[in-house]
Amino acid sequence: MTDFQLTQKPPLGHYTRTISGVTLTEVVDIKILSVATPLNGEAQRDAEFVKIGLKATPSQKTATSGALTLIGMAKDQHFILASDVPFPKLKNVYLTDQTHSWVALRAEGPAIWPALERFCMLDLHPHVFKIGDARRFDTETMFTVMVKEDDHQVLLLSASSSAQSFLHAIETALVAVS
Amino acid sequence: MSRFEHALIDHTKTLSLTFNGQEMQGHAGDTLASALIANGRKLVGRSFKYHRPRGIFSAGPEEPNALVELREGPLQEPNTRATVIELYDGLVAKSQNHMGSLDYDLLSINDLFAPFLSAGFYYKTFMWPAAFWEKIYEPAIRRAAGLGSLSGQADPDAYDKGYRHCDLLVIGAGPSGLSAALSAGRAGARVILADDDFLMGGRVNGERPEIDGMDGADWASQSGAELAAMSNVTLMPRTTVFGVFDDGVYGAIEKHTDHWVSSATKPRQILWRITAKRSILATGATERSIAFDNNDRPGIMLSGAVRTYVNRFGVTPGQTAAVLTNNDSGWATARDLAAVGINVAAVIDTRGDAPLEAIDGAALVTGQAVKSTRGRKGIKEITLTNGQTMDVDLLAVSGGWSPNVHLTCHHRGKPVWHDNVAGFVPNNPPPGLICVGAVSGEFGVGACLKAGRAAANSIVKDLGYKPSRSAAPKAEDEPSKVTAFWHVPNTSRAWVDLQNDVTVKDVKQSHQEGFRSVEHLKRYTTLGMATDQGKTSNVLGLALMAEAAGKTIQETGTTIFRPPYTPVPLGAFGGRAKGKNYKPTRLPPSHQWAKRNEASFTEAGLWLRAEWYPRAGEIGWRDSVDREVLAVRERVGICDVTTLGKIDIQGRDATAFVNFVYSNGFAKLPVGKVRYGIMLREDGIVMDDGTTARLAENHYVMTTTTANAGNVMRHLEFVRQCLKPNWDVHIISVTDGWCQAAVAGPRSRELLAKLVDTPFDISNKAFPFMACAELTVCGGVPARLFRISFSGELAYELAVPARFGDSFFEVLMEAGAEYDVTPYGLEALSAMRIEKGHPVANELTGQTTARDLGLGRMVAENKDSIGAVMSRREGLNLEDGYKLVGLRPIDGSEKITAGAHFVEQGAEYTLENDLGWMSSVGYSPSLGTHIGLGFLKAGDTRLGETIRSVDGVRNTDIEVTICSPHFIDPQGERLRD
Repeated sequence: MTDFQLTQKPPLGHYTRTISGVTLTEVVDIKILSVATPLNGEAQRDAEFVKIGLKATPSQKTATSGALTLIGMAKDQHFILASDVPFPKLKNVYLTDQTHSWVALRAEGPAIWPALERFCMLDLHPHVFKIGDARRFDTETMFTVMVKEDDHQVLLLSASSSAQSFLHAIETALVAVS
Repeated sequence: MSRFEHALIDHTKTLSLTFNGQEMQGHAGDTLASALIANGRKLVGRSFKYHRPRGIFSAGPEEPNALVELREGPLQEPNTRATVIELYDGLVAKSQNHMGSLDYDLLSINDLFAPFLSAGFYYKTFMWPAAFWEKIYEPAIRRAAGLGSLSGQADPDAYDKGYRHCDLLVIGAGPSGLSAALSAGRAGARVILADDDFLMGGRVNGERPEIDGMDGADWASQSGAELAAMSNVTLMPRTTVFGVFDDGVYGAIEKHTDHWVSSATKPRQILWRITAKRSILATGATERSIAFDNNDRPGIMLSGAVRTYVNRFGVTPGQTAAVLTNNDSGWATARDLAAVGINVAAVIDTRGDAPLEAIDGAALVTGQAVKSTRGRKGIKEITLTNGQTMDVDLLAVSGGWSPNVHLTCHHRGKPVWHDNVAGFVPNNPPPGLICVGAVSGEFGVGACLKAGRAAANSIVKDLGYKPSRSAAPKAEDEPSKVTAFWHVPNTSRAWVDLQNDVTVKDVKQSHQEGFRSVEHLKRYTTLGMATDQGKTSNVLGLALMAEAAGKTIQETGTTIFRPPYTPVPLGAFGGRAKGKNYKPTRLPPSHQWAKRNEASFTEAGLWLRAEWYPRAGEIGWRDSVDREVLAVRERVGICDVTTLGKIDIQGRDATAFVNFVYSNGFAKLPVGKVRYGIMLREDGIVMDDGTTARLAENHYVMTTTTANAGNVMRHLEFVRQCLKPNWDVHIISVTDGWCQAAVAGPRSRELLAKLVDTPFDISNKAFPFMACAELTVCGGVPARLFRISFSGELAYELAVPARFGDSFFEVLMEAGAEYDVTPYGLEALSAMRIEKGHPVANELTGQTTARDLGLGRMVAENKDSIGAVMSRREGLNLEDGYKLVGLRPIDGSEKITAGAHFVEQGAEYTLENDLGWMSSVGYSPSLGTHIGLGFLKAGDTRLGETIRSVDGVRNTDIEVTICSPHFIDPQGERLRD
């Protein structure tokens, strides 16, 4: 048995800060599982989702069951976000643990919307981007996934390697709209 | 100067400003121009070429004269129009384009040489000697002419970008725009109303017509307040929509904090990208002048501007005024001047049938014009065409109004001439854009209000909203008849373009010299160039050209306009992406650990990688790198190789997919094995190389070079989605998900054995060269282990989930302490790969084939793969084609260089004698000499021969021996040990 132990450190080191009334918090207890649908395997996939209480969602939509959130990423791809619980057991789909590929930031506060205007080119009007919706976009060439969790709360995912640059982009936008 | 009570300024809020060192005062609501006028300043600048005294000419973005350098030091901004600078406390500005003081400009001597400085004079005059042009003539002309100067320092201001969306974008907040926004807003549509001014209302603030029974300015203010209260409406004052692009996208620049003395942490300007389903263009019209002798003196202003300064800003640019007009709007100016007690000496109407409304104290002169003026630094006297003279200190001129059609041209729409408005009106505007009000030639305020409402209602109905039932605001239509009158005949010096010092004579001369196209006219005379883009001069210039050609203006045509409508700072286009934030920085998981170990870092694409780890006593980077290489060769070293692209491939057809994208065979790769592969483009050129491990029956993980990770991912997606859509294959990047360390050197196995959880066996027998496995390390942490080697030594690459990265390197160092484990960086990695002859981006240039790299046999002939057929083209398989070889200097102490070219001994260093080039070089601490890799014609047949490596840039000529590219352990015994 090895004598050595490894410890985890999240990309932003448990970052939390409030700027312009928006609280940014690095979410470290989310595990992310990529679920790819086999060719012509939609029915089997949906059956697997049902087993864990989820209904397959189209792209840009989410579904929630307990601590699990399903995000429709593309026609043949979903993400399952597991908050502080193990990944569900799924069969007949292709799985990739994506937890360590991403940094997750939760932003909460009304000023998040004018701030998002500064780095997200999508239409985020509440009639267009509703609670439970998800979007994928580029932020200053950094790929971003965004889930609207509440009226003034979003979860932002971006590549873990460029987490500092991503944070800088958000902080800059929040300071600019303060 | 006291202000008129009715002015739309805050009389209680006094602001200080400094112009050319003179302290002045203004009020909140002023522009710099109105404050200068209030302080009695007439002379504010010098003209471009002749350095003639110039004063404020307009009250808007069309200003050609009053250009100033705003702010000081690195914040200094040249060529800023005083008419659009919102006054703030502490504003500092100075005039530009003069040698010596503004009042006594030494370069005003140019005016005496005016007969020699006509259009295109520099093309004709400074022709010889040719060498003088760039060294003497051009610098001298640039010093004498030209506008303001830059600070020469980096711009410390912040800029930003933003994105907005709406159903309806209303461009311009005059009566048409406000009316449109109100109607659309009341209907519930998502509306953005943008206006370049800081005060909504446009012309109603300058003209003060009665609207809905109230002062027009009050109506505008009230309308603005109603719109501001609507959650579905976004007001964007201080915002100029400068361009119309594809698919309803509009570019706009917002002066976000320009009206603050310091922008602090806020962006000074924001470049907005507005996506609108529909848009209404309500940009109004710009007044133009009439050409007569000496029509450029300070105190000669556009009539509408005079009216604006009096009615909006409560200042008067003069005490005794005359009005010269060819249309009804000039009369309104005269009336407004008289109403506030300004002495109007005369209204001179070029029309014989002009309305003869009595204006208190003013002489009414019809069918005449102003012939000339006097007054060097400010107008003092005018002489009419009938010979009559008058003493005035203000001359308001109206030559008619040109609709602001600029944005309608951005999709190549060409405006058409309308005689009844004596101007060009929009024709074939961009899709989804409707023009209303003065921009479409409809000048009456009442008509504008109705048109705005009607257009908005039509649009919102089309978008599915129920139009508002509110009636259009009511206002009278002021008379707006015009009879074109462009210039007084037989002038000597009558200005057409004040900013570029273009006169009537220049326009006629260009025609005489054969410049028939309006585009040529523009470029030869510079008419309509620079910051104002000819907003007050273009139509006048075209009319003169038409007259010279004996054509109508419509026949003569017009230039059309491109974005931007007004100047946009380059900083705004850059936004926040400057300095180290120009692009994202990617950090490997071991970055903090490397920082703690005092690594020196270098950029590798977006990645920041450790290049070496200096130790005490090491003098230069070579000391560190040599030590690191020798440590790997003799003991064990560790290096973060996370930056290599890692792509997870799964699916029933994953094997076929990998076998298809690589040129060498992967169909029979067993589970638990890794294989080196090369990937070709469709044209047979090598695209990338790397290793791919088969983790399970239908599961592979592919590595790419760091530089090509994105390209390969895109390529695989293309293959998956477009070439093989019926294959069951899924790919996903896992580059960021794993922290991967190379553990290399003879003691690497012993080190890793300390970390690998039992019962996994990494002995050579159980885990041989090119083996791979998913396992756990350090008591249950999932990991992937690959027995592959880039250094040529016994080596492994071990990957753990990225968040363990920092701890992972601590543990590797701790476990390897007894073997004196050494961290090594990118430079040592590079030195060792040259020693082993591994190609990287230096060799994979997009021009090299597998054959060139000595890997021709890896393009399998017994299967289909991308690029295989094209790689067999004759031209890529010539006997004397380039081959990758190793190169060593004959004199081991000499330093060879990458980029050098090869020639035979004794041959001249010419293109004809070129044999190839050196692609990579480095010092080999193992061999004690510099070594290189290069491409040499038929190089594989010339091993042992001597050629020359000539570097024309660094001026070196070194004899080198051609050898195998595998300098170290060519049989690969070490890595299989």
